[in-house]
Amino acid sequence: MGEPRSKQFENIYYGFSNTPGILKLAPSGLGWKTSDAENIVTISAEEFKKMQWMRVARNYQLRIALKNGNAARFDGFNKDMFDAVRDLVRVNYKLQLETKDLSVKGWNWGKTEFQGSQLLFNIGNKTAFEIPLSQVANSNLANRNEVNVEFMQPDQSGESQSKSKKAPMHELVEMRFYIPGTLIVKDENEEDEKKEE
Amino acid sequence: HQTSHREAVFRKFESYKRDTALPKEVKELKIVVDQRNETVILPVFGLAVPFHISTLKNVNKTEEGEYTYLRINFLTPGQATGKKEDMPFDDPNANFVRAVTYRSTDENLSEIYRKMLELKKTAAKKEAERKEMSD
Repeated sequence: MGEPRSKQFENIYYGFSNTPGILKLAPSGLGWKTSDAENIVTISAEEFKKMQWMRVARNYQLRIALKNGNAARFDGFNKDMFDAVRDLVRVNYKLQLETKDLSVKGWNWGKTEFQGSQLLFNIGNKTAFEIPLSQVANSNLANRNEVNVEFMQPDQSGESQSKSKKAPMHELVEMRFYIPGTLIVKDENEEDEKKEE
Repeated sequence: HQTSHREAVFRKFESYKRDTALPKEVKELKIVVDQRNETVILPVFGLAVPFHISTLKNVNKTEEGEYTYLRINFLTPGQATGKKEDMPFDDPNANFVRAVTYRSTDENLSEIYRKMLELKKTAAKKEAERKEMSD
């Protein structure tokens, strides 16, 4: 255990950005910056509400739920960094690092659920994927039982770095859901009501 | 109610038992075809999301300007596909992912497309053999 202290983690990605940086977990809060110091993020420890650890594409993610309702995501941790992060979180912020298991069953059926500012697709009691509503450009009822969701492209959403020709991304353009039974989505107002549930 | 058709029984499948089994390549945030586990893994907002080849209906590739588009269609109830319509579903009342579309300037997308078709073909062949054996 020991005294509160600072520790740095290298090659950590913030949010959906494609530029890695260094994350420093200090007793007063966290700081993340890219090596060129062009992107800097700082969050005070007083803002931290909940910490989660989960498997993501870029290895493991430390997700910090903030008191303002937002979440900060840091990807790129190795599996064996769990103990170090857990201890820091406990000593520095007096929080438990919760582990969150995701579904990797490979099924395309489950249950959609709105949680905060995200749409979750759950298989059994585990989440298979999440759609941040901030990334949704448009959604419409394709027909009686189908909902089509179009996503912001990187240059629109402003959250990702300039596209590099060397490493072209595979961009998710749209996703279509089949929702059997009664689905009542008449207009956008009603969709907003759903989000708040 | 159950149909009397012996073949119309949903056969359980699972891509991975646990998330530690996902292949390393998923960290590139690109579409990965995992032949060994008969699975296509899609990058969805930072997560690596597997879809077993049994959920896949077909894949379309189109070119538009500098971009290649891949549209992956999944099997769901309510699709008019003729004789395949008697295909059973684990939970027909669930919510389904019916299709996803990706775009990229990545030249490898054509190769990924080819691998998906190949995996689907191999899986269909295996399924046909299995049915033949059980008859």
